[in-house]
Amino acid sequence: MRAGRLLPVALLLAVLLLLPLLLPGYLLSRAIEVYLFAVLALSYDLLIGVTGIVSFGHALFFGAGAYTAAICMKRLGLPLWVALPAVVLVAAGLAALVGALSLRVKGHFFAMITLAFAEIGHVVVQKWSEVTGGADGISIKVPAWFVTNAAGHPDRTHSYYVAVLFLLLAYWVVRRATDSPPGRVWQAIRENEFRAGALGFDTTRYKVAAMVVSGIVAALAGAGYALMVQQGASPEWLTADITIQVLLMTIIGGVGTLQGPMLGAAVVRLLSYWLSGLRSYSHLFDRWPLLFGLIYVAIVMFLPEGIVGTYRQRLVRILQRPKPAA
Amino acid sequence: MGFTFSLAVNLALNGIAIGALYFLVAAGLSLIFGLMHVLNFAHGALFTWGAYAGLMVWNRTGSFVAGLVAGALAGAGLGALIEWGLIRPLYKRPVFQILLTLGLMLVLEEGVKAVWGPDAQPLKVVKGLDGAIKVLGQNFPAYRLVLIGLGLLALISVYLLLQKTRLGIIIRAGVQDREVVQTLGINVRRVFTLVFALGGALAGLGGIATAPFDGVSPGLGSFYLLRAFVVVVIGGFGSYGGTAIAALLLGVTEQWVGFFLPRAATGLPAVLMAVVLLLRPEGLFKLGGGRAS
Amino acid sequence: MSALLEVEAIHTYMGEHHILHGVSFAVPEGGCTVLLGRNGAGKTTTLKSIIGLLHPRLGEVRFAGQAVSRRPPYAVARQGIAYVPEDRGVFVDLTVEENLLLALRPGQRLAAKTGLVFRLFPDLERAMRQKGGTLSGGQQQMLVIARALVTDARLILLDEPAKGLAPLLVQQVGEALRQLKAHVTLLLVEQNLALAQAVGDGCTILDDGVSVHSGALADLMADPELQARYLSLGTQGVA
Repeated sequence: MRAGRLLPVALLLAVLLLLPLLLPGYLLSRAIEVYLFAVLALSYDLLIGVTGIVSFGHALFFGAGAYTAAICMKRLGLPLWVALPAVVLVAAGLAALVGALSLRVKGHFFAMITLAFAEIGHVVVQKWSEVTGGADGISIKVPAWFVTNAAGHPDRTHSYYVAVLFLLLAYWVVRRATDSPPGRVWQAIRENEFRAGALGFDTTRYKVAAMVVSGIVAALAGAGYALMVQQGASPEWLTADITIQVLLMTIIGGVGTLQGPMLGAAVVRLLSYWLSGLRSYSHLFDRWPLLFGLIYVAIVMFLPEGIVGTYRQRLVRILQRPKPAA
Repeated sequence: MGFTFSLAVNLALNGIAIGALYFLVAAGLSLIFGLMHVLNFAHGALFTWGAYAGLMVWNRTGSFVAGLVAGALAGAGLGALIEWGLIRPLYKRPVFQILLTLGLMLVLEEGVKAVWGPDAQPLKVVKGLDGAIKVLGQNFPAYRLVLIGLGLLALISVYLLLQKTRLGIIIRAGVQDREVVQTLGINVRRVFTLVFALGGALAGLGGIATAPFDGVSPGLGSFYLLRAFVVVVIGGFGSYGGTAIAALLLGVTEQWVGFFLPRAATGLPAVLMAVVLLLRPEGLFKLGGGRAS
Repeated sequence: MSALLEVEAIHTYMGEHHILHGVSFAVPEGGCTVLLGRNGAGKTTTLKSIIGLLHPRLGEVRFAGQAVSRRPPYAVARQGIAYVPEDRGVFVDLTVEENLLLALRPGQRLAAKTGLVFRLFPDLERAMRQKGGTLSGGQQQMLVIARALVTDARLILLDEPAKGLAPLLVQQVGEALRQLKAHVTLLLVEQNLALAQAVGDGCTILDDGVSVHSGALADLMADPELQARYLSLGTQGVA
């Protein structure tokens, strides 16, 4: 890491770690939500931004993670340290299956098939009530450690730090994966899949791999959500709404930048909390999702690089400007 | 209730009526994708806006036919506006084009809620058509015949447009090979807007036609959009005849499956779409021209 | 007197690939100019740059004195250039009649045009109601040439019309082109030297994206050294 970047990163880390001392308890829950969505958006960026896979079914992995965790703990009575590896395994298997099937088709067909798979997942979860609790979902009893402090009072601080740790870990993993040799192949596939194939890479296998990594990270975010936010799982985590939210976050933040989508997650969630809070002041704010939709459309049309992407472009241009003669 | 022949016929008729609605949404979607290669996620919203606009006119004037016309016009106008203002600048960036239509879907659906509220509108029936008629001893809601009639009307009108008019020839040729059409001196871009308007009109008509049948609510468009996608996939992108047959098939199959396996029925469209996309992405039928890109 | 078509030092890219590195030649009005060269020399790219399917980044294309380099294909076509691509571009689900109807300018009637078309291609008259996809390769080739005629073009660009056709059909195509020459200027890309010889008057050779020779076709045919340097071996090269 360059020296110039060290200070802002250190500051950011400090803020993240010290937040529980500054915020009241219920806002900590909001922060946890933001971090988990940031990880979800990060995992999506790996697909769409790094590898160029435009999937419309990402909610499938998020919901799968939530439900796997919930089912393991509630129906199978497994402890947390068994449930989490189970989430990873299930996510990997699901992603490999979905990837292997759907990546045989390209472009628009692929987008639609991912949509179909997510919808199938949604229907399964809604109808298979014996296992998934149907439309009501499953509620779980999380280990007390997550929701209380040392004195036994309701306190989210432990969960908060777990979420921060998860966020940092997830970013580190995805960053390393992107910069690694397979990651370079992913980016090559995004730039020109045909050429990547001509260079000798089995592009389908690489794409499935990207899907598996992305799916695992997304599922862990879902499991985290089930544990720390909702204490349970419900069918709405598998709807197109989630996919669209993640898309919003990724595009607004800056597709392909990894940090952008995480920032986008924060922007979208915080704005939505704020705007829905304003509803008590005026009915004007009842339709705040409309505002997001408009911002999204504006960014797609005029600022396709998103916040972080555009900032980086400007930075590059500024840095490349010829220095004035001495 | 035992499974009798009359029940089978009733289910089939219901399926055809719903299939007519699916066709109205899917036909535009199919043509738009076939000609312009745009996957228009906002198409369902045109359905919804047509429903609301048509309902508004129907309430004001008391005439259902006026409502139908209003719905079709609203869909056409909105479709043309979207194409001209938002889709056109993005033809060189197809990925962002899809992303845009998704965003539009959100904006338009929220827009409906902003204007008319998030709740479903009270169900309004067409006077004189709110009864049931006897089909083989079973009661069959009379209005559904209207749906079938509308579907047929649309099917035939668009067929005539495609087969007998110069615009229709341009559309059919453009679906096959846009470049060659350009080299014949035809400005295909201008046709795009017309096709978007046509697709929008059909969708809007379908929307208002749903009002006495299923009610009008903000989520209407998304429901029919998913099924329209399934129809287009099965029928083949850009294939007009294929879309018609697929719409019929889906409508009828849903009814039958819904009777025997109610829990499976909700998932049927998604499963069908996945299966067809995996096995034969170009669609099951190859009638009426068009090739999947 | 300036030529009907003037291509001046065009550089065309496909994506980031620099295909044409300065192609220049002229096509006089009347008769047939042949564009020759090995596979990959840039002949199809040149035709596409003329009709506007590709836009040259540098250089200029002038048709009847007007610059057409960066105009959309439909505008170039309306100026009077027709394009018959390598894969013919027959609309397979449209009938022969509909294929021809498409080529009409608004306000024109097909009946007025079919005289010459049916004289040159009598087979087509019988096949008017047939779907384009049911025609044989040779008939499809006739159809697309007829279509180009119907557009009232002054210049027709043809990309390897003899490709994939049996020798007898190649002869028929050649005969049709020879008769066509009397009414319309032709710019023909062809690997089949026999056909080129039968129809062509002038020629330009492309090699690796550059124009390397222009002149009378007869002179080229008399110069085996030139042929060997820039063209595939043998004068009977089939595409």
